[in-house]
Amino acid sequence: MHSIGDPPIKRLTESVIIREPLLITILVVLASIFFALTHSYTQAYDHRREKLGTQWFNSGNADLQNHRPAAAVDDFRTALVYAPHHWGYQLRLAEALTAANRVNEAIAYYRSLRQSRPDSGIVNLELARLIARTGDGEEVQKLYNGAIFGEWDTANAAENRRQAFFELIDYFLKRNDAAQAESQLIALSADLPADAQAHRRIADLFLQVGDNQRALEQYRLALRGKLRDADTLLGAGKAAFRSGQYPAAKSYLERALREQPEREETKTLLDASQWLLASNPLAPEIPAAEKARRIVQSFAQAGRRLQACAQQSHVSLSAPSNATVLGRLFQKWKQASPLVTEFRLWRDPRLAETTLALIFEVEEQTANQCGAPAGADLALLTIAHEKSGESR
Amino acid sequence: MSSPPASLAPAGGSNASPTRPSGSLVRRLGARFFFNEDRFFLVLAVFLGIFAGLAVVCFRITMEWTRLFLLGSSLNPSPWRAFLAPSLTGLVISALVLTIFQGARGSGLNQTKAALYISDGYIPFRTVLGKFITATLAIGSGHSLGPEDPSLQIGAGLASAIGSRLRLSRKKLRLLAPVGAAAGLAAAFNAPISAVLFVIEEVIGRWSADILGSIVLSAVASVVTMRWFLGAEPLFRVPPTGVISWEELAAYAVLGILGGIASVVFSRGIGWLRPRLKATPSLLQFLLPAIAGLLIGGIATAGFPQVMGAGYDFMDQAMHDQYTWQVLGILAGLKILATTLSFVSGTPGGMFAPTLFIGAMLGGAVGSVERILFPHLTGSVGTYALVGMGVLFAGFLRAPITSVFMALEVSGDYSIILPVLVANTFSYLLARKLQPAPILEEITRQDGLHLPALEAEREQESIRVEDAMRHPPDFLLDDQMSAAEACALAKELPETHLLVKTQSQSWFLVAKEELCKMMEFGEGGQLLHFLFPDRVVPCLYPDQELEAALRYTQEWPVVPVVSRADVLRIQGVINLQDVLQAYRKSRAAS
Repeated sequence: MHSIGDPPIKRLTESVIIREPLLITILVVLASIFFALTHSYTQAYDHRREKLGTQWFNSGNADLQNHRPAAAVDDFRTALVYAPHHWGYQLRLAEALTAANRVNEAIAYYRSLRQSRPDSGIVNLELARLIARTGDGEEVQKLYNGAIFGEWDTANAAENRRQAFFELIDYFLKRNDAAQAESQLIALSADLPADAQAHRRIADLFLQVGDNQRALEQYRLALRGKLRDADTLLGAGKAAFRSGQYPAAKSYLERALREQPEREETKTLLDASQWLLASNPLAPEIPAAEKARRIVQSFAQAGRRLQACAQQSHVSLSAPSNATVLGRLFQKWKQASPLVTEFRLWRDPRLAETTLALIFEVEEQTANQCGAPAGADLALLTIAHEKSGESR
Repeated sequence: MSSPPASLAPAGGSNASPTRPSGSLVRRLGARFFFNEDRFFLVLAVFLGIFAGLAVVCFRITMEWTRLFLLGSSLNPSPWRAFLAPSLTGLVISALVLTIFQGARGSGLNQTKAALYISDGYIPFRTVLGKFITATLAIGSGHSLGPEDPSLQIGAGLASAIGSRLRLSRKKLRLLAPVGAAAGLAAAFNAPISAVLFVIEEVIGRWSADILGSIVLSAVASVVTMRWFLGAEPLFRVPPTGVISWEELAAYAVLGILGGIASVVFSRGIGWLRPRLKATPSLLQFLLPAIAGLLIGGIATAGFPQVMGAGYDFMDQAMHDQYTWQVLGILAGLKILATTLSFVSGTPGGMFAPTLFIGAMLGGAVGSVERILFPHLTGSVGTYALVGMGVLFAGFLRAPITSVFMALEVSGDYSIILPVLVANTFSYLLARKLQPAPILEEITRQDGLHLPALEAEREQESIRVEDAMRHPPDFLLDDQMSAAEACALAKELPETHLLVKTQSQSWFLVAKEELCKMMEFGEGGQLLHFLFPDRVVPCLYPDQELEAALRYTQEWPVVPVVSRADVLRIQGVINLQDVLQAYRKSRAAS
């Protein structure tokens, strides 16, 4: 075959004992040299790649800050060429796609990120926000849950989870799904830190879904956390008022009025609370004569409300007519008027009941026709609602 | 197998006697227990894998540096770079290929195969160097070509260069090129199984135990080396497959059909344009890579820079649902055009990556359309893109087994097997029907080479022993007969040579003339068993290929064809005339 060197070396290299180990040694040496050279080469290239990745990432960030999201998308994509598995770059690209209003692309990209990290809180949250725009409720709920129970790389993970919770509740409220919103609120309130703002926020939401008792509890926690502004006090007053705790409502509302004296809503609610404390015909443990006196007072108030509403709605009550709701109610009220005296009501509990029913009907119908009442009428309407709630 | 007696065997006899080590006892023991060429070859295969892996790492990084230098670091190169880089580099490549590195043209796959069959696997080191430089320039400047086939040739060339200095036997030297090729491809593709299968399926064309071990070792060594430097991550991030419902298989069948059609369009484009451009004047040929570069630059400037280079980043994007189906469809079409231009211009570079790119885009497009039409189906676009890669691999490169394993290996997910099988089968069968000759074979033919057409060989119907054998003789001798009895019977029979059934579950053959001669020597009373103890004749089975019969019938006047269940149950006899006649008949029929 090939002749290598002079005869003794040739003999040596031809020896079967020497030849293979010698060849293997030569191959090892060559491989080591090649390996070292390649290592230096790849190190230099890796360094350059890293630099380019950072450079394009920074450029993308600058573009995003300067409201050039389309350019930022290209920059982040380029950055990912040099660091294809860099999670931060991937997230920024997704954000840039969202900012550029390329919603479908952003959704697709977030989905692909979610496939690689299904438990990422931020990816679930952002994807939920995007999909919530188009509305697949089941998936949105799943994604928000993914955000709530997922992993967050940032230090304020608990805050992010809470934010996801609140967004999910908002989502349900926008869809008028109060039951789902309430159940999420209950879950959220169970795990809330001692943060007055959070308590106030969750109390507002409880109030919004109609869970007044829990709302009041959360307002109280917020107040205990030294959050004693007019909004919190008004919220607490509202929650107390709606749950029938009128002394407490009066107290909170008075404090709220002191904080912000000109606020009409507070004044209205306070008037209603005061009226209820003084004139509620259904107040427990009042003597029968007092109850009769309060019913007469309420009957007169309902008549005034009926006339004011008719005037507001340009409905004439003087002509005998059953054509309108207000006209029919006025006829009924007019017919009952001679009968509604303190004595008759004291003697005839059935008459007291029918009179109260007429009063409540008047308050409800006028509220429907003329909008929310104030003062004594609001108080009567509240009692009417309480009563209808009880009967239901 | 036993050798025939002097009276029956032709001159020369068997040449398969093993050579024994000669020399001192130490040397013999060393050769026997510690070192021999077969074992050394396995060790060498590991080293070749390491060298090929290192070379591929350097190749890929140099390609990236070149891209950075020529096209800039942005994913979307500026228009002037997109026009100038591939065209001006095309001129440099032309100059290099026409003056210094003539052997560097083409993808590297056919050249490696040619080296294997024409020059005993020898690939000059200059070709390796040339391929490294020119393919780096071509792909780095944005020509629509891939690095895998050049890596295959670089691996094969390095193996050849190292092996030729190690004074290995000719047989082993011939095996070096496929071993290096598998290592180069495995490192380039980060997929050792696919590389091994591809080399066996497309380069060697047969399964052989003596080479399989070396190929596997080198492929594994190269992938380990490559991963050491570049990491274990695949070239593109593969999304999880998820559950594939049976309804979706119809969509995958559609993908297979579209993939088959795309493969044929791609193959025909290259097959039609290449010989026409090769026939142009030499000045124009010199300019062709530059012209192709200009046209590709035009495509890139028109808004589709994705067609430049290998395109792995864009395959990744397609897999992650970053394009609409319209864009994916356009990209598939433009990539076919761009790759055809680059390849037929003679620019060195591979076809693997473009094939995968086209498949990924086509698959992504089908997946996106499916999602629009059937939103209840849950298949991800990424899965379609991945299956699409395999589809084009099966249809265009005509490597059906590799295509299936490639999809499995790249995804690492066995649940993809059904769609891959369905889509690849449709694509492969349709492409074969519409374009019987695979593109690699056609290119070989256009270059005036006559390499074995491996796909045709695989499909060729073989002629078997049963197609050529004759009925067995009416009467058979038994080794318990005396020579006198046997001679008396033999005189009644027309055959000149007689088969004798033995007690030891074998057959032997005696010439009628020789048998009767025993009478003259006074051995008539002796049993045949004692007279002809060493006349055992090899047996054939009806299902064996006729090639086996050819080997024996040259040495033996007649060979028994026996049942596999019972060696003494004769089913026919065959001689050289029968074999030749069967071959003639088959040729006339084809």
